Amino acid sequence: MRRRDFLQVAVAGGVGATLGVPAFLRRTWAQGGPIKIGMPAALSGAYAQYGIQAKRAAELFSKDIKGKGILGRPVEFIYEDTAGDPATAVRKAQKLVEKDGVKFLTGVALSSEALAVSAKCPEWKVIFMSTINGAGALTAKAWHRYFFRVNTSGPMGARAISLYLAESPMKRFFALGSDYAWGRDSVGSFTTQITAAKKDIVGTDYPPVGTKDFASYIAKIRQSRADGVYLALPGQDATIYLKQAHQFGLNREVKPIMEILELENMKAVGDAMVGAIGSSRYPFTVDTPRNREFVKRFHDLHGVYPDMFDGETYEGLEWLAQVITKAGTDDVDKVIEAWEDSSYDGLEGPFFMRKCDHQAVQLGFAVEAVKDPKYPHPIPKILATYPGEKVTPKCRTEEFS
Amino acid sequence: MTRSRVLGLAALVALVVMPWVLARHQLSLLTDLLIFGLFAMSLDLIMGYTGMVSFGHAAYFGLGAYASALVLLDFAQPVPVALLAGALLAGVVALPVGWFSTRATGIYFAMLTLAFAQLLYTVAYKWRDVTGGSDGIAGVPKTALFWGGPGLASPQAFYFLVAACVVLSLVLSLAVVGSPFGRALQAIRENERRFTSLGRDPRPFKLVVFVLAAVFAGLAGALFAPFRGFASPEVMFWVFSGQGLMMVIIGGIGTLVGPILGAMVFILIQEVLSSYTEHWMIFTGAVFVLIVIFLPGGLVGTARRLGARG
Repeated sequence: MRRRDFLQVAVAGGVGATLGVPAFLRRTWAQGGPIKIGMPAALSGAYAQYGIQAKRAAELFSKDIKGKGILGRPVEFIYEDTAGDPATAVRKAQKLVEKDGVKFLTGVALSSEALAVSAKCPEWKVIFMSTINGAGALTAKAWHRYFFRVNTSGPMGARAISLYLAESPMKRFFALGSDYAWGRDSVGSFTTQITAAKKDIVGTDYPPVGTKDFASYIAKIRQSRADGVYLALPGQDATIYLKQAHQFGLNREVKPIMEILELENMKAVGDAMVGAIGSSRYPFTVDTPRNREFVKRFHDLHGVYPDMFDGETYEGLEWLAQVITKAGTDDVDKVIEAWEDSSYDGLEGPFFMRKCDHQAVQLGFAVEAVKDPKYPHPIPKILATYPGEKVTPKCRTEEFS
Repeated sequence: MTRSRVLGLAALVALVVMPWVLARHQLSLLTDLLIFGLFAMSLDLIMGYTGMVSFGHAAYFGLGAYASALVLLDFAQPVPVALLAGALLAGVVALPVGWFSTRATGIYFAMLTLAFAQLLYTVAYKWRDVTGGSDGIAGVPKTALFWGGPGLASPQAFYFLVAACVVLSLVLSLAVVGSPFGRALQAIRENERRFTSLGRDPRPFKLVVFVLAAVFAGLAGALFAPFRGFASPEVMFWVFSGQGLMMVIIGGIGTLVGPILGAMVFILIQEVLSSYTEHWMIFTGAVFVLIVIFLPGGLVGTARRLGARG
């Protein structure tokens, strides 16, 4: 029995110790009924960087509206760690909805998690606000009226970079996508659009997720005599590829074109990344007064420059707050009505939430990684900006007119 | 025997009254716990009663989940049809896998089951036309109980379906391990060589129990898909097989009821701690280590030992 007592004490001690850490303490508000926003985000595991970005944005947003709140009510964020696993994501989301009574879910990192959680939202009658998820299906085949996508989707990113390449002197492209849904979908979208622009795809390959040695792919790409290589590789894989391609001197011969050009990659790869181009959903270097202010506030709070999903999530939260204010209530149906066909003045430019598939129409960016002595790592330099109408697909499809 | 019967009856009554006692989210959580409990229980059939440690049990849970998801989504059949399909598919696939794997014992058996499970995982991951690849299949509906019958969309209705499946599976499994067939399994566990020297071939016994365990795991998976609304390759990954082993060990190997409780404890710890810290896995690991060291028979094994002592 003494052993069992010990076990109990040990477990209780462990729980107590974690509860005691102030960073994890949940804010409790005395009265007024806070507006609760649930974030079932990947905070641990291989995709933690995306969940952490969402959380950082939410932390800044809470700080910015402190005192004001929304409709005079305080805003409470409830974070849950999904570890990037869809089964856990659904369980956590269900807990947020049924136990904590949140009416808004956001911060979901992976497409697989988003597809699983979003599919449950009509049943739960809560709004799913995507600020990270790229899967085209979310606003096409899998769409429902409780789903809103504030961010640029995968096909929209591919569209922006294709528009840029269409005008470039480059003619021949190799497409390299990780062998899973996102990698294959991205390569598919890119291939369709680049062939429509009368350019050639001279080779395609799908390395498995977690590839550590890209030598054979690098040889193939070199042999193909392509002008550019389109890369849809997730975080770490992209880092490894770029470093190896740099060592082989490939980056000078064949221009790397990233599906998304993230700060996270630029920090990890460093100078070897300079010269790579790609699309960006939110480049922090956008020169608008609103964005300059935001970057400064963000840097003051977190000590780093905002990455793509920091910006996109912040914009989502700000827009959601604006819509709730407009509706005058946090009632889900009223908020949906208020959001449809509404406009928002985002960090990088104007946003419009079209009613037909709840995809936010917004600017598309083609960027290049450049060195700037003012920053400790390469930064995205904007090469071209495309208006929302040109980079947003036809309603409820993944196709462009 | 009477004491365990009283406990069993009490548990049954508790299961029946739960929907009126628990809040909505607690009932959802309990449904989840029961589904994973069934999975852990099925693993205990081969692990606890036959001494075969499988590192690939998640594959059968996953097969059940995919079969059920496809039946519900593409053919809109009642839930029990999906359950049957899930259990059947798991059993059918387990037959050749078991036939090969049971040729080996110990660590080689574990490695073979792991290899087959990873193979099946890769199929689920790559066969995008059918399984949706890494995105999985989302939006699986909870259809009716039978054609034109009552719907199962309410949390209470689905809870009762899950509870009934788990109780029936447990009763059936208890009957199996208590039968002469079950005794033979335990004889194999205790001393396979002696079993052979008595003139019996252990392999058919092992194969049958392996398939049976897969069928129950498939049933758990088939319940999971409509409950959670999706199926994805993660439920077939080796990590989930490993978690199954932890659930069985926490609850008590070779007790059938224990692994159900073990699964509940395992998920509850994860559920509570992960709300507070992203380092919850450290605590799950610590609890596991403590249980292995201080409660060698797991929760149920220890409780029985204490009970026997008076």
